[in-house]
Amino acid sequence: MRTPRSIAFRLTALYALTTVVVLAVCGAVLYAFLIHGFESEDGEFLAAKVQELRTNFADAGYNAEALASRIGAETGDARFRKYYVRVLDLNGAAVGETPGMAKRLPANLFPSVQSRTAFAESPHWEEVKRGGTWLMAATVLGRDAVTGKAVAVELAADVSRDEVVLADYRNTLLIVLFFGTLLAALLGAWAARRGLSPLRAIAHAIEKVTAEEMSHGIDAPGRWPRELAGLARAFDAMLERLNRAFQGLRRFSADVAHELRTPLNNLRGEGEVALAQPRTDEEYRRVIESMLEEQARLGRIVESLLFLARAEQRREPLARKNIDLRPVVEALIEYYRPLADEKGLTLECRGAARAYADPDLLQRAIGNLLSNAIRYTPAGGSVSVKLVDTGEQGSEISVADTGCGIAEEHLPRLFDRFYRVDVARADGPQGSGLGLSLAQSIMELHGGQVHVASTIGSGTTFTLVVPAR
Amino acid sequence: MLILVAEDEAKTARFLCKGLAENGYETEWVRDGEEALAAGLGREHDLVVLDIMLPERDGWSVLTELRKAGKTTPVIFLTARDEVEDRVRGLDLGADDYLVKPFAFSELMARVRALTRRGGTAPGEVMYRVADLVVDPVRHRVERSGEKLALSPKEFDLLAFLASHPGEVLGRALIAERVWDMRFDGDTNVIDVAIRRLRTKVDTGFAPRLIHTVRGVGYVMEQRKN
Repeated sequence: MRTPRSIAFRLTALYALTTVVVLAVCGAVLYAFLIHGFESEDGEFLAAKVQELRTNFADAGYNAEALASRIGAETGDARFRKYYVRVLDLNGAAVGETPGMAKRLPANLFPSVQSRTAFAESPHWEEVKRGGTWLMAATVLGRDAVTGKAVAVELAADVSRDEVVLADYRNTLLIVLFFGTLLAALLGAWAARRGLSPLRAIAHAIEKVTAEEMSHGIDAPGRWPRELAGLARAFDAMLERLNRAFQGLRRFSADVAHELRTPLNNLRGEGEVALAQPRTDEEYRRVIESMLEEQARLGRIVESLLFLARAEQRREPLARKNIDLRPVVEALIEYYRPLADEKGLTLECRGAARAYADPDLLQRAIGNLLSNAIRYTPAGGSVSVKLVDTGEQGSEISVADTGCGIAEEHLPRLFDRFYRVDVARADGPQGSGLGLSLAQSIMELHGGQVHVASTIGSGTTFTLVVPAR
Repeated sequence: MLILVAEDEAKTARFLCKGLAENGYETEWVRDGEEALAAGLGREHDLVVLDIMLPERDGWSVLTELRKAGKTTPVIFLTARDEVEDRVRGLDLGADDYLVKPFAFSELMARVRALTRRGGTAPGEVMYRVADLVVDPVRHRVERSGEKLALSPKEFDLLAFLASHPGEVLGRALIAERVWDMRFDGDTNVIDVAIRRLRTKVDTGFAPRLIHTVRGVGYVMEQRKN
């Protein structure tokens, strides 16, 4: 994979690109205005000249010959703007012209003669390149007083200067574009470096966070610019979660060690005491049997822990099936019935529902809840399972007992591994302290949940929520 | 019956060989994968108990080579690793069974018996008799000393399961699975209570007692001397 380009590089490139676009658009617009300006100026110049010629024609008493001779004198000299005039009769024969015009701009180059009215409405100009750039037009001046025939005039103005100015403008524009862009890139690079300096600062701050000092975050009011404050907050929140996870892990390791230590200690103690003096076969048998019981306890803890660990990093999909919950619960009730009878508890199941779940895992989750309920409900009480089909959401399996209830302060930690409400009962032979963790883990694998509601003195209800899909 | 035990842990191997010998099997013990393969290819065994993590050559490879050489000897894998993919891989390679450490020895014996029983039990024989107890699964009837006993359906299933494995120690987890179809090792004493209730109906008032507790292991049905 290619490493992405640096942010500083991207910003610099974007600044440069923006500058090029802005300069180019402005330059093009100004250029267009310039061309338009020249065109209208030239047009006005020629129109003014035509007007002037008309006046001259009238001054010359509408005599073409006289006009022609005046033109020779007036237009021949060099002026601020060079222009040529040729007076024509209607047959197209030249009556007179600016000296040298025949050589530079022969009559055939000119557009056809426009009538007076046509010229007044929309004058027709043609541009010709011939020893410079010329703007040319032809129009009727009036009627000759002597011959009575129409007199026309061909007019050409030198616009070479315009071209030079435009070319200069274009060159300047290119130079401005080039250096402007270069300057923008340099300034952009500097600005990007400066602007990104908080990013380096935050990286440096994060580097200083160690596993031991996770409680000190990097966020503080006003420490970071607005854009990074969110990142700093998110980082601190992650740190907090990690910290809690680490603490949980430390506590969990300590709990595991403790839980394993008790049966290990029993194993060792029983063995040592048994070997301290000769005993009867029957006594040895009892010791070995008791040791096997301790081993079974150890085995169950290890198996449950492995199950939980595997559930947490599960890779293979669950073997989910669409199952009818009623028979599953009834089989479990049948299984636990002798235990409930022994304690004088009633055990019942109400309702019906279906679930899309792994049957073995669901059996285990419900079984753990039932076993807990039976264990913590005193004689004469009842344990009931209620199945509720919640339609789209899936189904709910509630296990309610009439036990002593669980105090509120225990509820948040109830599903923690090895957490026991009644510490004094922890060392009894039953209960690994993992049953609820297992149930919760199984529900999480299914994308479901476990809820608990409890009232001191009247009982506890655990509810498994299994999603439909 | 000769069983090849391939296990590098001396203590494990010792109790395996001892237990199997006391149940009437002859054993041959090898400590690593190469020896296991050589022994497996050299002699005819009735069963191979194969540890997966063996030095020199692992159990997977030993099994693959044995099957490649055309040996169809049944193989039981022993392993401390309990990943589902391992289990699947083992069975795919042609292992006949898969046991995760720590396992109950009674469980291993049950599997060994199942794999070495060559058409032993006749399918026609459906009555179980232990001493004066007669269990008839077809008619759902139980008699002790000729007297008919009234049992609930599950009590009957439990008794039939015990009576069908006379002399075999059956663990609680196995009983829960076979009789109640509970496929998890719950940590309550449900089985103990159920057995206690069964005893009051089957053993109380009769002699000798037939259902015996093997503490820390499970239960066994047999007629004991004295």
